[in-house]
Amino acid sequence: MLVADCSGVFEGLRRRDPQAMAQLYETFGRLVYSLIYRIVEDPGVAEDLVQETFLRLWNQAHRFKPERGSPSAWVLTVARNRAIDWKRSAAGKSWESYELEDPAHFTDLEAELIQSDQASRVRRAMEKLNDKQRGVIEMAYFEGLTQSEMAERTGQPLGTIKTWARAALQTLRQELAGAS
Amino acid sequence: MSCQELRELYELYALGALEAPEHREIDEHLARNCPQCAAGVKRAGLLAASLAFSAPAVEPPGRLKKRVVASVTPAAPKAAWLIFAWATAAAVLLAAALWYGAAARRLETQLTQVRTLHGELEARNRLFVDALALVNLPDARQLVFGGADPLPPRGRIWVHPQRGVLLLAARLPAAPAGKIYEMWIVPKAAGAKPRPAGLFQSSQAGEATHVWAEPLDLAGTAAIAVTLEPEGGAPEPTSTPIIVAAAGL
Repeated sequence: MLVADCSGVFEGLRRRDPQAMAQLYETFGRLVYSLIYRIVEDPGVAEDLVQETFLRLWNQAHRFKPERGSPSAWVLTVARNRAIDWKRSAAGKSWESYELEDPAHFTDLEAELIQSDQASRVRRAMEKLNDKQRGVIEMAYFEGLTQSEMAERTGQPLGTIKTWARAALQTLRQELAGAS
Repeated sequence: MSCQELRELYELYALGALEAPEHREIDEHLARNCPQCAAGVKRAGLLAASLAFSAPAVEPPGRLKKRVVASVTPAAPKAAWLIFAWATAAAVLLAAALWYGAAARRLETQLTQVRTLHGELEARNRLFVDALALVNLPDARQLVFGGADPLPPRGRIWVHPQRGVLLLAARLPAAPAGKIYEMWIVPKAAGAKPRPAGLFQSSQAGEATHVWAEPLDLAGTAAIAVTLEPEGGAPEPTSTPIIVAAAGL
């Protein structure tokens, strides 16, 4: 199933139909597991967090309007937040980005971001970054580090980290333009 | 910061890579309903989400799908039973209406009652699922009200920045005819007006459960309150609060 064809699945989730949950997992399960596993690096923990992710989607589905939004972006954001929250909690750190997974953030968008060739588009875009820029993006996305935490981790001045991050995001914006 | 300055921070905000003060500054800016920045942050959220594709693809264990679906399946027998009951009732009522034309009006009324009951049960089930989910969150904060007061009501409130507010009240008399209870989120900011947070009724037994499933700015909230308002609710409180639970956050 294409991710853009999710309206029926979300309709089923709103009706609390477990079969719709099965379809949602069919569509996103592998992607969600891959993302969470990349972040937590533990298969047992990844399984728990995948279940937690889908339960959260199940409980919030009535507030999501797939015909006007990007289901995949919402699903992936919820998944990442579960994993980053676990990772940061394990390290005794707090996390401030929960509000950004609200379904309202993923509606009234121009198009579904994630298309059939999105994986190769993103990988190509990441390859355009130099090692330092890619490192900053990966520390932000897969580890949930703030810029000052990255500076502490790498021993680089905060201004340098900000420069790398700004350049990396500008490149990603350009390379992924047209996907949004 | 101006919108122009904030624009440079949209993606870092979406990634959660900003320091707390900058993050809160954007939160506060968005709370003022800036359409330009709201749209920018949404686009940034898409870019951030797309980075998931840079994770190496890993095949999940086959058992995981069963586990995920099973986690929501316990409700299925009840739902299936309700649908079956409704369908059976509808079939019986329809046949009876055909056979007994004179009784059709009465049977249609019964069918409507079954539909209404079904809808109420579903809504109640959803309410309890949302309520339990909120209570189970490790970072949900619990507030107590009325404990030291000699008069009712008494109860507890759970608040969570994403899942909103859950109110459980006891000894709250059923609202009189033409009236309804309205919950309010009272901001800390001087001069800011309380924000409506939904209408609810109390049962004849004096018990009430109310969920307001909207994101909540905990740091900016002074209290959760409840007033008695005209049926249909009011944009601002028009009576003295019956319940006040200081957020203390």
